[in-house]
Amino acid sequence: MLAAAGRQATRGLLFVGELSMLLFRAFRESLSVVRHGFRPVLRVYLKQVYFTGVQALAIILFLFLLIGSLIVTQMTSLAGAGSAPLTGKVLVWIVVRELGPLLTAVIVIARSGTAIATELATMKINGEIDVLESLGIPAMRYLILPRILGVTTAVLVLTLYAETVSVAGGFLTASLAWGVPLEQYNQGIVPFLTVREIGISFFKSLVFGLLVSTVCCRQGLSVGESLTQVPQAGTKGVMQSLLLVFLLDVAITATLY
Amino acid sequence: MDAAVQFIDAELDPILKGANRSFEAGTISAVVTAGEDVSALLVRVLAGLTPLQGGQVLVLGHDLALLSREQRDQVRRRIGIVYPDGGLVSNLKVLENVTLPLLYHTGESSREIENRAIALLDRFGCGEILFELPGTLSVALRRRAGFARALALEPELIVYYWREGGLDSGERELFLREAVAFHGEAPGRTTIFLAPHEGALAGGGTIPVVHLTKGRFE
Repeated sequence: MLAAAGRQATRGLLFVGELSMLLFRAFRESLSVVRHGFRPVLRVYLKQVYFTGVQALAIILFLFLLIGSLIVTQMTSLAGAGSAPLTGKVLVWIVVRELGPLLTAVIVIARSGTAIATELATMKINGEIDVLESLGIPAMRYLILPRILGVTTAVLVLTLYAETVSVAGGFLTASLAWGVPLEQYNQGIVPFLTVREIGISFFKSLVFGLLVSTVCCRQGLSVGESLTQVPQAGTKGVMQSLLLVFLLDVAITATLY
Repeated sequence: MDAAVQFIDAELDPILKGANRSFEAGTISAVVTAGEDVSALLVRVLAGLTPLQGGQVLVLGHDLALLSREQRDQVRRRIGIVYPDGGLVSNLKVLENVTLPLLYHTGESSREIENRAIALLDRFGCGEILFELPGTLSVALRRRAGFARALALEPELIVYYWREGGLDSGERELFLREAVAFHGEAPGRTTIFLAPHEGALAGGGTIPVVHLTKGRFE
């Protein structure tokens, strides 16, 4: 029992070590990309931002509009229509502190995480990564660095949009359904929407973006030669990303709040 | 004459067993290998992707295993490899595949690079498929596009990983003629075909052949 737990812990540590190494190697490339290979790397980065950020924007905005409305509806039914300041406060706590970064990361994992892992796995099995290397184009610089940066940028921006829309959706519901004026609603929002709250939300998004992209890239690169490993890489990437994002969310929340 | 590629007591199980051979700069030659696996591994050795277990391979005067990553990439840009299935990057369109090494390694403007790539692709009959993804193309078209990409950087050493499948006899002869013509376009350019048998290169003129048998060049 103890030995099994020890083995599991060792595997976990090795996994974290591999992720850290991949992240380190990718960021080491960023130092030299400016003088060599900037244009193609920028193209991959912009494509990644488009795929992960722009294409996911509509679904994120819609979901968070609904979430804002739901929270306000539940709070009002619980505490009454005159509880607008409390409702706003709860909305900020739930959306900015937790749901904004967390749910955005979950959606990005579902959409882009699996795509990154399977795409890289397919490229590796087809020998495309070796072909790139033989052209003098390092995979770490051309494939991994822009994906990590692209996903992280997208998660940061999507979270910002998600939180804004959620707060706006909450106001819309409060205003249309219970006639709550903006000033009253703001009394619950503005005092609690501090720089610290926004900073921690930003920090969580940054960590989640880096984590999701690194885990999925690592899974994509870890395949051998069999095509059956491609869907496995996608599944593992998604499951590991989800687990780590939730674990880190708990760790950050417990540490900073 | 300098050697473009030099095998010195090269050891790599199971394909090289103390192999020695020089391929002089400016020459065109063919290596007949025991099979596709051998050719594939030999390509990896020449590109510095698979290290030897013993001895040395000097490519354009450098032992790639001893170079730093940046230095190795600089040597690799001087080598063109034509893969049997084109070796194209699957998520890039044909034109993007050809412009990629130019964008990466040269400081030319994007417009100049695109024009150069389009001219190269036109030369190989790929003018109609510039914006197609490789997965939608036949092996012959992918190989032609891969040929165009390999030539884009005007390599000093070009290696044809040759396979007959996917091409009819007319396409094969045309391909060989283009390869020989490209060889002659720059003095000092070295061309090596890796072929499964001598007959595979029929139509390419007189190409000196060496056999890689039991790990040695004969």
